[in-house]
Amino acid sequence: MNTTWQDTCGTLLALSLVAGLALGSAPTQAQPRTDLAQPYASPGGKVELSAPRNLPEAADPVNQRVLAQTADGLVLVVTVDGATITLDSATPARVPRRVARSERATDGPTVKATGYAGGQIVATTVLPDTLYNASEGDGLVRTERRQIALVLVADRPLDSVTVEAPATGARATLNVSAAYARYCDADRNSPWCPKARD
Amino acid sequence: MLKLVFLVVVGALLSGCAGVPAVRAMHDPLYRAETHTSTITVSASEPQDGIAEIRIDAVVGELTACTGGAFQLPSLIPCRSNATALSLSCTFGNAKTEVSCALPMALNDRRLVTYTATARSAKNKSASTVAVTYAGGAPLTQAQIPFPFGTITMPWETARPVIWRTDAPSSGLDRGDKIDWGFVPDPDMPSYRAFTDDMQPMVLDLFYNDGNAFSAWSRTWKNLFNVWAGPTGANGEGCTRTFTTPASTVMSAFDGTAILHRNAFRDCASISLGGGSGTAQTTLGDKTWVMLHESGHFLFGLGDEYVGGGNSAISTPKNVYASKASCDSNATANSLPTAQCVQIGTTGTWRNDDGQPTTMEDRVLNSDWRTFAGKAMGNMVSRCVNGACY
Repeated sequence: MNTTWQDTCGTLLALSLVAGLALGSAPTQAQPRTDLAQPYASPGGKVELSAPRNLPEAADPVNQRVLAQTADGLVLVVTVDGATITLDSATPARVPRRVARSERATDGPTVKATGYAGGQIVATTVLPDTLYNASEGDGLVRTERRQIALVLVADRPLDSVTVEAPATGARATLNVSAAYARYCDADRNSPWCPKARD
Repeated sequence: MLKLVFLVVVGALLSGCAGVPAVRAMHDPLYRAETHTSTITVSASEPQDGIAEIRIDAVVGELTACTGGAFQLPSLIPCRSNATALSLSCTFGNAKTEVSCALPMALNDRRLVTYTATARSAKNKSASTVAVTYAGGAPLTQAQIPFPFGTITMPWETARPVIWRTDAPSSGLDRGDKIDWGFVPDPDMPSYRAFTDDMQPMVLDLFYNDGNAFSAWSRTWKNLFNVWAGPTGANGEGCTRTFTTPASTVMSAFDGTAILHRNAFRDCASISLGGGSGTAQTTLGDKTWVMLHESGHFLFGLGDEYVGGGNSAISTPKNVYASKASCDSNATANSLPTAQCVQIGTTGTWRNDDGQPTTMEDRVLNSDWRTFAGKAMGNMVSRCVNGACY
């Protein structure tokens, strides 16, 4: 069994010491057990398991974290092939805000997506273009055909998304309204049905 | 004077830690997409006063797509419902040798587990681990979305947390202080179980168990990383990488995705800072080194520093330059000797070489992130600590 560790004071110290300092952690021997159904302690220890108690969804720290750090949006997967852009999929989803950034500090090529609803810009996102690749022993490889997954935060259904990959002169406006068809089919008055807005 | 201040600060930190237990925790297996027994093991030591108690607090519930409310879109990152909380206390007679406490749990379909561990010394000093959340059992494959007059069911997959650091929610809504590293199987994996079995030792070595220099950085800064698994649908072969749904959708939540494969082919990775991907072969003797090297490309924007590699970078600073003048000026800006700026063979690209093995050049276990690469990785840590890795 691999037994590994999270540091406590070690982490604190690591933040104050230079990067690269190895805080090696010695592996330990867990006590061999045959009955995994019961909790156990190393020799000399006594175990006491509390009675399980229900945790309301709203009080669950995981749910609180997800709700705080995600937002409604659209995941757009496109294939950029030279100057051509094709839509692979468009999926309405609750998405992490951190990946839906409109600005990125990078010296490399980027892909930009701009989402529209009713002719107005609702969201933009920028992601590194994966045009350049390092092939081990084979050098720098420029992949004209590459797949990019873009995340847009949008509190309403998008009609279209304009995708630009200037490194290969690619630009296209993609109709994404069909992505919301399931929601419209279920409820024409759903806020995720584009026609409900009109 | 600065050295004195530094020593005083470190001394204060160390004295603050005196008598505080060292506590470490991990679950095993890290991730398995089938019914299994998962064991959370916590070990603690405090040689002066001894350990009085180890406590494991765990929450177990059903992994969901966060579709609890009407009109709510399903989430790429999972939520939890029907959760129960339990605590395990292991008490010891102030043992001065290392002690351990283990909580095995049978995980069936769509389980999501969070745990923290606390160790308390005989003198009532305590230390805790940060909360870690992981998934287990058969994954979620569909989401039920409530509407005012019913529900709709649609195919859905979430990212599958392997080591997800879920301490208290941060105050900033768009805070991105973690590097979210995704792993997905290549079609040459004989099964999804084979993929998760191959992933486990690589992740453990990279962040915890390995004792070589190459993993020192990732072991030191492991708490900056979340590790995720994704569904099938990825395919890597050379520099061609394709993703079909749902893998293509789920990977959008990661800062970088490693496609793990068993068949031998030339590994390749995008040179990117966010949204990139690369391949890594799991059957190599130095597989963990290879995976870290590839992550140097697709997570950290570093270029190869050897002849015949991808000698191009977008890191800050870049570790490869198109001219000696550029290498020199960046060396000066980063307090590196300009005399170390050397051409990579006759490629016309330049690097800073201190003569020691470095991970973007030398395929040896005693390599490290050095010179420009070391500076770039240090800057990555700074950005993460300041709330935005990318």
